[in-house]
Amino acid sequence: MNWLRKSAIWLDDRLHLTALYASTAGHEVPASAGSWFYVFGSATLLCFVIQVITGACLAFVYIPSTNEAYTSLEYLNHAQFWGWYLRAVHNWGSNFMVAIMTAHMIQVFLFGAYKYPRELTWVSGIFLLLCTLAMAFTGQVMRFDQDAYWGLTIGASITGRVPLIGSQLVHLLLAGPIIAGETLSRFFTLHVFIIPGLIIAIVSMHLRLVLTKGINEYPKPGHPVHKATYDAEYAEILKKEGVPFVPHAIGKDLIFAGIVIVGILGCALIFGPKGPGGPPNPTLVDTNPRPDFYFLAIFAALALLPDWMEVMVLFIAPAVLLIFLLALPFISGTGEKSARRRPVAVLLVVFAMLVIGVLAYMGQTSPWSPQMSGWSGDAIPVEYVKGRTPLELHGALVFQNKQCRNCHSLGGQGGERGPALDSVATRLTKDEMVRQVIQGGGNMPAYGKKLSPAEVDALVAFMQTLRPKYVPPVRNSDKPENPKPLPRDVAELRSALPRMNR
Amino acid sequence: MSGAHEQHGRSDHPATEQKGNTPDPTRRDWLFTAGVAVNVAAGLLLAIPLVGFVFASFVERKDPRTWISLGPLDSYPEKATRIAMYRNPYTRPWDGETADIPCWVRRLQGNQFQVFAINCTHLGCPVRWFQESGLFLCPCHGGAYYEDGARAAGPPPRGLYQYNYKVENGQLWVKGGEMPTLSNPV
Amino acid sequence: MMPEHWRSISPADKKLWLLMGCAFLVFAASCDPPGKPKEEPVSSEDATDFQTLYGYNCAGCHGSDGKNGPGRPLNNPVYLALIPKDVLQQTIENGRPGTAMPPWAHDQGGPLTPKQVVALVDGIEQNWVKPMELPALPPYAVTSQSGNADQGKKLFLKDCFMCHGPGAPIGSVSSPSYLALVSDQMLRTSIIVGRADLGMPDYRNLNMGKALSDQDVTDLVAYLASMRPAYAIQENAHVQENGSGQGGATTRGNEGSGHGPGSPRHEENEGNKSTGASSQGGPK
Repeated sequence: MNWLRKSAIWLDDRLHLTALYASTAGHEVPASAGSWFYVFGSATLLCFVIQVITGACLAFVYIPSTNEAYTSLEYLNHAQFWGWYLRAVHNWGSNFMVAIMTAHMIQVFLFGAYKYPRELTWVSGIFLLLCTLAMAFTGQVMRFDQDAYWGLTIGASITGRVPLIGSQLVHLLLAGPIIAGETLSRFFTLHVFIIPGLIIAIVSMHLRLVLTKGINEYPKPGHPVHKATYDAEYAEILKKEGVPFVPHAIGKDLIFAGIVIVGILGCALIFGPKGPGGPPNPTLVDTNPRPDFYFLAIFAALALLPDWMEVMVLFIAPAVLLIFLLALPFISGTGEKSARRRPVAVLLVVFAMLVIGVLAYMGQTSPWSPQMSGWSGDAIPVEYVKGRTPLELHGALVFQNKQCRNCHSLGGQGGERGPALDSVATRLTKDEMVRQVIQGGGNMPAYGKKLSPAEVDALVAFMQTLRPKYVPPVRNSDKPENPKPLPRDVAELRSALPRMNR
Repeated sequence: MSGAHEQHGRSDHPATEQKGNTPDPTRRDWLFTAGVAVNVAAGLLLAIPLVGFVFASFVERKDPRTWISLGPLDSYPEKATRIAMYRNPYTRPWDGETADIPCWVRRLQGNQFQVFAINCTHLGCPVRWFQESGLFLCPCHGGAYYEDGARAAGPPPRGLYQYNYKVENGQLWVKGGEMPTLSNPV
Repeated sequence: MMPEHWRSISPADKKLWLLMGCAFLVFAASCDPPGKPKEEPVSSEDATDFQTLYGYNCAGCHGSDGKNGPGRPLNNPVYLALIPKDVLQQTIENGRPGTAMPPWAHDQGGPLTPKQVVALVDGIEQNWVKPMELPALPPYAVTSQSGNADQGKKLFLKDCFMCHGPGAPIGSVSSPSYLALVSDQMLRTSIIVGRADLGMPDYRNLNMGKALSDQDVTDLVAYLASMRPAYAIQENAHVQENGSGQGGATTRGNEGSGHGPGSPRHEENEGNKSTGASSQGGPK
């Protein structure tokens, strides 16, 4: 064993491994930092490493050309040994990475870890956040299917709204006037070379700052940060309760890392890879483009914003948000660290999470999108057909034929863009229905040019029957109820008589 | 410039001077300055083609649009709206089916046409034509347009983009080749 | 450190761990995990499965099982015995101009390929045709021979009035709007095949147990057609002039776009409606 020891000493003398170890893995951290809350940063890095490894493997097979990309994805899914699994791990790795990175950011924010003297750690973290989101978007393009194609179109359309240089920016983004040619190569280069390179560089800085400025001690309420005294206080903490990171503070990181890996592998095994969906052929217009979940919230916001607000929210809001995030450690660089004494910070996190969560949920369900096959595929509920007059039945036909169903649901089926019409006759009088159908309004197109008078008559007759049993349709209050005129309308008479065929 | 540097160097690095074996500080400073200058020049020489290469689309002024045939007139019945497809003129051999661009052709009567881009003016998703209600509907955020392309409802800020068209040799031609966006409608 | 721990594990345990690892690998490699992608299902463009095609394109109007929809029930053996197969196919391909049935074939601007149309026709025949005896089934098409409206009226009062007279429980068929919307062929077919799903008998039972003859049906249609409002007759003529292959809805819509909502035609109609509405009292 002597020669082994000798060569180890020789190596260390040449490579300075002991010194490197002591200043990195073995550096002293406050014992309180060995907390379950402090595991997210290392887990994010772990996800990144998994992404690099699986990504490199996928690049062995993937072909970044618009013609071949889809075929090579199909090949990976169905023919390449373990190809589908690596795609799944890469996909789930990215999901985990975004989720854990968000947790890391929230933890750092709530624990005041961005405060003096760790401002630049936070700033570099913000740039890592941007890089990760850029990886998510370019990665979605790598899965070059219908969603990727139209996702690119959405990206280009947003870019095209930039004042003055919008057109040039679109050309830069797409590497040409349209999605073709070098577009995919451009995104491949960004996804595989440029952004990962940036991430590695910024992560190095991030980690070096963690080493030089020390890891944040577990904050205690009532111990505010003062620039004058903090450094000495931190040195005191290290002296009193400092432990080497390896092996005394890394245990929980290791356990969490294991959980993350098993989680990624398990999700990949159970849920598999995402897509590819339909082929990236723009002439297949029977499609329903949706972004990956990281961008669902933005997708939803764009549906819900009023027209005049869009440019503002698209360009100014992200800029303001980014400036706020970058300026945060300089605005509140001192003071309380503990979340127990920072109610506004806690509320801010809760608010942001609620907004993003609700928007993402809405993006997933997309109630504003017409149900494109509603008119031809969703049957009229049988109880709205039984016992109706021929005219009312024809009105139901008009209802389906004019694609009303694409935006209005009956019996829970159909679009949700407009209100459900199951009890419309209790809300709108006959005249109001006619007006609404012919003139539209309230985000409904006008159908005056597309409906003949007889069709309007039939349609409204049908809608008049859409109400709970035994509830009469609403009527205009200025029309006298008595004396009751002779029934001109059969629906009226029928509603007065006991119903048949029900 | 070099004088300032000299002073800066002296005040900043007393350790170098203390060693006393610097024979000719002016010469070393000159070499350093020259070295930086040479590298800046070389860097610029490298940067010009690099930036030009990557940002070519910013510089290129050529109009990518050309006249493309959408086929014979009689494939478009009057008073009907049909989908048409053309091979995008800006194409590469490796494009495959991605370079096939769809559009909606509405023939009013005779040689009167309206040719709409497939892209919704809101965010570019593909709009679909519904003949019975005479509407174009967008699957992304629910934009709706009338049969003449005018905005009907939803978030779109304007009506559908329309191609310039002409009728020649019994064929319908459109001027295409660029993705329409708000800053660059067809 | 780690090697020491590893050494402290008993050999039996080590074997167990190795075995479990191998078992996992073998399991993962041999049987298909739930996440493994299946072979791609056929896209909507190439689907020729009847249930899929019908559910996606037809169920909206014709009902989810071919009946109980507002449109003509296709799951009706009498109807399928009446309508010739080629007419059925043409109807799907070209629609019925001037009615709520739009064209479905690709070359008419619809979503279905020729193969899919054939699949639909075959599916309808295979699933819903039932061999049955139909004595003296009148021919499908409206004949050129003119019906006798007076004779039709007599028949109507005898056979149909109970349910379809003005103010009768099932609802009038003589309202101008209804007659403006339906074609003679539609009326003829409805009288012959009835609506078993909604309780209307077919031609065999409508006439108090004595089957309606071709002439009876023609007379009935003639009577109903004689009550059709003037504007609808003009419109129908227009559709027939124009109507080969073209979607009737489009034709009419474009005509309408010349007038706009403020056109005389519309105003007249609005007038009609407001009288209709004013006459409406709350039901008691």
